[in-house]
Amino acid sequence: MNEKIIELRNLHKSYEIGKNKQLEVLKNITLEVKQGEVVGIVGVSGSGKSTLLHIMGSLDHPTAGQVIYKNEDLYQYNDEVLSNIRNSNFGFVFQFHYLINELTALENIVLPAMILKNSPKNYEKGRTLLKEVGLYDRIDHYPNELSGGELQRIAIARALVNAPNIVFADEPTGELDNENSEKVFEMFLDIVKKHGTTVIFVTHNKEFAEKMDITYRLHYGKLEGI
Amino acid sequence: MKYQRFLANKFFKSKKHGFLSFVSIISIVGIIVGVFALIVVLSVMNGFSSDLQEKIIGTRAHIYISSMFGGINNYEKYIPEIQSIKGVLGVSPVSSSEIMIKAGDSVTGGILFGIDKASFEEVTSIEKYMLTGGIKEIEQDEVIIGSELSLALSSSIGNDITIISPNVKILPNGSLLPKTIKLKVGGIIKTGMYEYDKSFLYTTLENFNYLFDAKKSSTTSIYVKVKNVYKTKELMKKIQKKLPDNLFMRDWIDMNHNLFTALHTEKFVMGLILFVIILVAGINIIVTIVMLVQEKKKEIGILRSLGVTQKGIRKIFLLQGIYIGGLGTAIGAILGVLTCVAIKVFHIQIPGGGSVYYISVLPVQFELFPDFVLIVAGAMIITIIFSLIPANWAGKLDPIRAIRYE
Ligand SMILES: Nc1ncnc2c1ncn2[C@@H]1O[C@H](COP(=O)(O)OP(=O)(O)OP(=O)(O)O)[C@@H](O)[C@H]1O
Ligand SMILES: [Mg+2]
Repeated sequence: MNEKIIELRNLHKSYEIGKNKQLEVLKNITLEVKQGEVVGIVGVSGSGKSTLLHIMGSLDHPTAGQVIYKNEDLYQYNDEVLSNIRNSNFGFVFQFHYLINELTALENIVLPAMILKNSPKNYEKGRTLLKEVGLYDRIDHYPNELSGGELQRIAIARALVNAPNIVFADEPTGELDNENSEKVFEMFLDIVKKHGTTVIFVTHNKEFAEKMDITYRLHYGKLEGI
Repeated sequence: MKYQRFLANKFFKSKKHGFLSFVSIISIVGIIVGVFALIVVLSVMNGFSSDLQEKIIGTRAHIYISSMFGGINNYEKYIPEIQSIKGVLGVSPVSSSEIMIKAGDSVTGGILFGIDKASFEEVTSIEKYMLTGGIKEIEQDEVIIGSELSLALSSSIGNDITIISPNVKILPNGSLLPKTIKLKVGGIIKTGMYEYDKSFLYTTLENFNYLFDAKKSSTTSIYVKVKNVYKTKELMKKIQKKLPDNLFMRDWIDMNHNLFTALHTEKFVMGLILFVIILVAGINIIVTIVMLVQEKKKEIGILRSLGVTQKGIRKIFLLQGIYIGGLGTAIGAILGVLTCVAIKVFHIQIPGGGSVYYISVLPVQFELFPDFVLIVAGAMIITIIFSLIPANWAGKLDPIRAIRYE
């Protein structure tokens, strides 16, 4: 638990709003995350948590600064390489499930594995994960045939199918009621701990935050440890 | 299966936005109509043109030898020499000129052929178009006329007609006396070509030469029939060696050059017009895919977050276009070919055919290459080009925008 896996160096992000007006969301953020760490990020709404998570996950570009993944600057890569890193090294779980409606639960989970490599083993992996998230009996259900909690569990399984190094979770239980929310969170934590996956977890929930290895608060564009 | 195909299939089959959606159906139908119409129309035009060609090749001579000035004298000298060339089937002297015909009170113009009844059959197959009488049986005082001419002059078998030559004598008192000959109608011919049936008359070469004050052994031209109608040019070179320089040759292709050029141009223009249908359908494909991309913006963002490259996204949407175009082209091609077969099998009558046109049933000739191949390839290329435009745009969409502002 001491290898450095991802690092932010003097990260800035500002959005252009109107003419010559800048909204500075992230100001000079520096952060080091070690392999296997579960990092919590809290902060009021609009403080830039999602922005930070997207930039770390290579989905959005920083205005200045660097994201160093495995000792290399992420944003030096072209689309091909970056997509490949996202596919096999990163996993994402968003506030909304973002499953593909045309695919069944199993197909949704297997999709990132298919994108990586076309192999008959993919479906095997998918089934194992379905069991792990306790939804094996929903294997052929389409997203519109699943409950909110179930959808999020499928989304979690999808994020883990390629055994990523880092999972980026943006309030994955934000849309669920308390009870469901807790269940999904506990399950998620269990699985990532078991796999030794690094996690960046954005949440509003104080109780969840307490269960992280380390938690930061995003406050006026700066990260503060708590 | 590669994931691009997997996803493209799933999206395509989706009821809401896939191929069953209204816009997709319009695109598919557009391509079906375009491909179908192109195949059928071009096949009918091919049929028409090859029918015509067959008729021309079958009924008329393949090579025409004529003199640059006046007629060919002593034609008997050349005939055996031409006959001896390999590939020549028949040789016959045929004179022709414009004349006037008078029968009772009616007078009309026509073209008189002076033929050698022994050899004429070797160079044409008009014998099979004879309604009554025959070329071989024609007597010295007889003439064979076309069916339309027979109607126009109200002259039938056995009636006398007077043929008036443009070859006139000036009498001592200054008036003009045309040379005439009175002949009996000995046969009636109907080729189905109105122009021919309205104006052609056949009599003996002797009568013709008498009418034009020509020498006994002269003719205006020599007709040659050959074995391979597509090798006339080679034969013409061989024949020319045996003839004096003042004689020259033209073959059936030269004689009908304008006709075939016109048919060819017509087919090209028709093809171009119909291709516009496919072009419009292609533009429809752009719209269809743009709408699909709009609907699938969220999915594009998700897929990008799952590690699909820009190229991958482009391919997924390009495949949508290829499915639409492929489906339309395939259905259109099948319908087109089936229709061609049906036209052939059911002998569709042309309204007013036979009397107005030279053919009575719709001709059709399906040509795999180049027509069919070009149509199918053209439709697919258009589809791909028009799909690439929105597919490219889909690939360039910012994943984060797609995810954030769903
Ligand atoms: N494309 C954009 N253009 C302009 N401003 C933006 C853009 N995207 C985000 N913002 C602003 O940036 C700020 C940070 O947004 P972000 O989504 O990161 O907040 P957040 O901390 O995730 O909030 P929440 O807890 O509500 O999800 C917000 O004030 C938002 O309005
Ligand atoms: Mg957020």
